[in-house]
Amino acid sequence: MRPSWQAVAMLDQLKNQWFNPRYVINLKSIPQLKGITTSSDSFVVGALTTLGEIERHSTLKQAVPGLVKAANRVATPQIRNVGTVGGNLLQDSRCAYYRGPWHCYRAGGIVCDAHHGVNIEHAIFGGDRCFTVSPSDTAPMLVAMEAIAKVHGRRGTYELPVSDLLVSPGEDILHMHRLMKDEILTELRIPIKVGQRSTFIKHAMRNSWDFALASVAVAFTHAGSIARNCRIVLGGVAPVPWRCPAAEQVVEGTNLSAEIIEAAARAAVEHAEPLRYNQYKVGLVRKLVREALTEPAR
Amino acid sequence: LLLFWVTYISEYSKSTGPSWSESAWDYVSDASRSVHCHGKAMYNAALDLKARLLKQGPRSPDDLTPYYDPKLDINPVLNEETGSITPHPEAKLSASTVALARKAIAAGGVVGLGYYVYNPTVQGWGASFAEVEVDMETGQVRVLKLVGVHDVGRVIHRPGAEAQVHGGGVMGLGFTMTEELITDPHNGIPVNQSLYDYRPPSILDVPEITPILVEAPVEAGPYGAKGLGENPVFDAGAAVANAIYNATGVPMGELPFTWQRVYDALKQSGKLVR
Repeated sequence: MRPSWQAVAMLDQLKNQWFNPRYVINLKSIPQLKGITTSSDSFVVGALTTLGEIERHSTLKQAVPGLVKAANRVATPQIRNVGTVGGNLLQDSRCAYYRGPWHCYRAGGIVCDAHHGVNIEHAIFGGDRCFTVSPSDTAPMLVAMEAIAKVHGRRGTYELPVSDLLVSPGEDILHMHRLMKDEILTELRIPIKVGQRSTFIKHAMRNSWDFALASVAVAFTHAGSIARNCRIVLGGVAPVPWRCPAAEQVVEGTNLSAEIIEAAARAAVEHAEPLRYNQYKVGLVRKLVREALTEPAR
Repeated sequence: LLLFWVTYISEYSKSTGPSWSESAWDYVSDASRSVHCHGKAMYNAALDLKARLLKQGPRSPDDLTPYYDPKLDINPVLNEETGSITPHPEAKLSASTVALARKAIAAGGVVGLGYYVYNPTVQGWGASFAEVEVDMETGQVRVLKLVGVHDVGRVIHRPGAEAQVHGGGVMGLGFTMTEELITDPHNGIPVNQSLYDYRPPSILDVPEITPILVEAPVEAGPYGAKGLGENPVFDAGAAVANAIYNATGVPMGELPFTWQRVYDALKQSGKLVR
């Protein structure tokens, strides 16, 4: 048995018979897992809240525009009306080699076919035998906002940061997240920070119905035109949402002038290790970081 | 009154076209020939019907020779064995059309039959113009505007013809920008095995497309119409490639112009901005 953490993304796997579960449990019949509630210090978003509900939520639009933008850039309106934020966060790898007729590390084999194959969409950071990328658009934004995930299972209920929920191939090459088979994600808690600004930008081959070639989520608190607690997190360029501490350091405590932003953009790609067919991602990340810092700094 | 038409395309005559019990045999609406061929066959059928109504009187059930204009409707066919050329290959009506015509005549109807063979000297022409924006840092190409200018001979249905340029432009931009069957270099297995991964453009990827229809009629077609169907698809790739060259000075030799391909070309020519 396996809970349908990501049923919408699973549908094509079922149709292609890449994944043949005996049972699929539909969690959507549990109303407590849906909905958005606000308290004094945080927003609590149920794991089965659809992306469409998030992008249309007026309070979230005001308070966390970055998250609303990220939800808004997922797939198509049709998918967003059915797909949930929890499922988006816990998506499996989109690597064509993993999903296709190869037997790669992630599929239980002993090679990464993408590393020496056509690696247009693969990682420039954090590749560790497996070079797949985190496909989620909401994940980098939730990491940037330091969201907390609440997990319920037979071991009980516990909380952990979203950044810890998603695991790199170095830690577990077979799974993209830390949930056990008897656990479900129940809610995401997004702390409310006074003066927080946030944004999300994604570039894909198509402007709709496509996963990110690269995306960037930026969140910082802005007081007296000084940026503090800046988080710059990249999506689509590493197996997990990729924080850029070097770029965050550059921005911390500054007024986000054009020179600072340019320096941060360069710092973000300093240790990039592109493969044969994804070198364009280095320039793309620079461009995204530059754009994402410029927009909320205004 | 019943009006029948028949298109008879010599090279396809042996193949099976679609047939409906209540209409004459017709080849598929395809390629750039539908308006030109079907239209002229209908035009000929209408002339035949008019002549029978005004002068000749109804057909006998045994006289089912379709009408054509021997001066304009030429389709020379080479017999590869003898080397002889037949300017007007014999028109054969399908059995269903013959049955339908006889049924109509028996019921007291007047039947007009037309026939047209694709004339290979009739060609539509066109040119496309693209405006692009190239990101010298990432290799991203954005097509901002596409203008399709096409000589269609005569516009028969303007919204349809303009929609053809729009639709063809989208198809052309698809194979210019994103659509590609990618195979693994080591074992030849296709890497993108679904229509999603093949990435035809979405409506949000379509730039402003402006159709311009030029009318230079030909004698052979219906009211001078030539074909248009495929033409808008063909030249988007060349127009975008030339626009990229014009913008960057870097020639592009391979479609589609993906980020990495343009990035590689910019890098090789030393024009990449880092």
